[in-house]
Amino acid sequence: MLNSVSRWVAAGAFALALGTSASAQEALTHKYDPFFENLLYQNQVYGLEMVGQRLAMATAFQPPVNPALVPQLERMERRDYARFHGTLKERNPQLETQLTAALHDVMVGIQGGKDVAQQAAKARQLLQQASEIIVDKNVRDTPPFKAAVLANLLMANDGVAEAFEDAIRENWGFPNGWASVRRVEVLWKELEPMATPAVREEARSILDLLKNSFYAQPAPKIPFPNEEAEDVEALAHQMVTLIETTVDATLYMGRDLPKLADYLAKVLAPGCDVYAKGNKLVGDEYVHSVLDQYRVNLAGVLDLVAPELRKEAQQQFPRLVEVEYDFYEGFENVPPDPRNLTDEQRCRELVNMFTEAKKALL
Amino acid sequence: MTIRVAFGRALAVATFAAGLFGAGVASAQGVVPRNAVDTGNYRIYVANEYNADITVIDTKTDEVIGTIAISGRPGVVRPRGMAVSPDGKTIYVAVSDFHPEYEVPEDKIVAIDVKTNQVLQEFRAGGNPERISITPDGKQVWASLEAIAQGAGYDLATGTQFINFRVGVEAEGVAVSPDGKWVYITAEATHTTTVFDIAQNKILKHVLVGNRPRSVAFSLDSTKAYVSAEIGGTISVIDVTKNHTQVASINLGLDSRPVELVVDPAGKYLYVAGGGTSAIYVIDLATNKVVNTIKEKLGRRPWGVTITPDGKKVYTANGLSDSVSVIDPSCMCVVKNIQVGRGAHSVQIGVVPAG
Repeated sequence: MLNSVSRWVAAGAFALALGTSASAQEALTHKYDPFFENLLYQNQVYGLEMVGQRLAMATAFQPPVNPALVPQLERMERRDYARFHGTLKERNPQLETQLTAALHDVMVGIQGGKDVAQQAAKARQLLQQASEIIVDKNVRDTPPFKAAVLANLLMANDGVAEAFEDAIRENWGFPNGWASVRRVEVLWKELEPMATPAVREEARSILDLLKNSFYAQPAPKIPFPNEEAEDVEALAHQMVTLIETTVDATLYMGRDLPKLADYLAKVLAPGCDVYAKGNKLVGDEYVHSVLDQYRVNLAGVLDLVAPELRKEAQQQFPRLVEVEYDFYEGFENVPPDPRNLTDEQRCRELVNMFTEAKKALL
Repeated sequence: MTIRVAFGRALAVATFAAGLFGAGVASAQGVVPRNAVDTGNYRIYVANEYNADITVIDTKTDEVIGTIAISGRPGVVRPRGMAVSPDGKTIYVAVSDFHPEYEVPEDKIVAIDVKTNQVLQEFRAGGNPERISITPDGKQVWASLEAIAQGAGYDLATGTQFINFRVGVEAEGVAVSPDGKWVYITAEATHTTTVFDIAQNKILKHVLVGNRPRSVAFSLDSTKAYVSAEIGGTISVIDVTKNHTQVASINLGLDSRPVELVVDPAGKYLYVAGGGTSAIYVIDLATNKVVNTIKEKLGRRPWGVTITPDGKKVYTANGLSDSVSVIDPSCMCVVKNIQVGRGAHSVQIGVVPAG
């Protein structure tokens, strides 16, 4: 299929052409580019952070928790864990077994309406050990890397900005943001000494507003204050801008879309080799790494300028990893693929898709 | 003083400030008024997103002289983008709710008679209309429908939507060129500006611009369009005469967060609201360089920006401080802040005709 897509792209068969020229785009840059340097690591750390976030949420309420919170918590065993599960299993199978069991114990307790403080504490301890062995300390402790972790907590799915917006549809997505902003506050303290006094003051003001006004308590207000979502989003973006300035690091991958598409192809390609070796768990980590950026920055624009590429992506991603239906992204109702491809072949189709996407976006 | 707008029926206006709307207003459409005589009497209209109302300010005194209620359900229904008709008789307001995934009866464009505050028409605009723009002949309104990634055109004589078309995801900024030929619609999530040919009634192309484009404004002669990119920190310059191609990118800085913009009546400067940085950037259009950055005393998160037709005052709608800042271009400084309703979103200027 991708071959036909390639021909279609090469033939210039777009119904609508992009009107930009590369030379017209004067790029603004920061010194560091942590997402472009370490996207796979960032994905793994985001998974670790998200598991930690669900554990914080699990112990923030008296049992039994609201049933609507349970699907949020279940993500710690599924898509959060999938971001680093394979690597953990490769590097420390014993710890992987323990952490898998510990997370399961938390969920069993939650579903049984029990207090899970003890189980969560154990899981948190194991998670910390996992964190130590998954990402190289020399990378993890650099300010640009930390800045990117913060940016994810502020802007990615189930982070500060998105959790509030999601809570308009599912009120119990709200505790994600409540936990995220508290984690942001902790991590920002590690970067704060680098900031100017003015930035420190502004960051403090933003975090105070987020923590004490918009996310003052873990449970969502009912009726939910829908109108505040854009304020929360604006504050989260403002905070990211302050972090960018402080660390001199680019934290928005979408500023250069052709570069992004090209980079995602390069990140994903080794994952296809991993699939070829039969290691699905680690291969899935590569797919999760590129999926987030595809969703945020490429899916929509490809639908306008190269819809066949988008269709390819929309069908292949869910056949490889668990994706959630999103209002704009149309991952639902993926038909069975009669070609019976292997995971490696699907992965390579996605690599080709990103390569073609780069051409389409130039 | 507040007047509730009761959709579909006449309103008593006895309590409203005498003379406020007696003479009607003419649209500046972001640049200059069209069909009205410029008397120097201007009105500022501020859409308060969270209060579900519109504040009216007299520019002679820079005092609030009235409030028009759009809905009795603040926090549920929100007014955002506005346009004023060229003949000065009508204010158009994009009204929607906070549930972008559902189409609700609140999704509409409301036309208000400025003399009587009666609702003249309601145009169904399903899909969360955010911004609107009116054609120079006053016959059509064009809207960005944020939730469904569409643009739409409405015939004001019949009140019907005569076309809708696909644009990028999270459509936002919309502008009709002063020559009435083009509609440009920006889309935040796809980093695109869609070019629509009004005469041919079709999309020409999607132009990839800076990251997270928010707003668009045309030059006075319709040969250039300027698109702000909030995350890109740039203003994309599109040459209309060169097949709508981006020919330059004005760098404001990665931390600038530009949103709405307006060209001054002389066509010399572009005023850009830096929403996330609480600044106004002033760009010299001859050189495409920033010549001034106004921050001192400016309200928080300026979202909307407009300028009086005589070029003597710039107004910003400040979303986080619920205020309007008044800027004097001669000193490039803030001379006053005016408290308005919660969530000041956009600001439009009208001219009160003589007589």
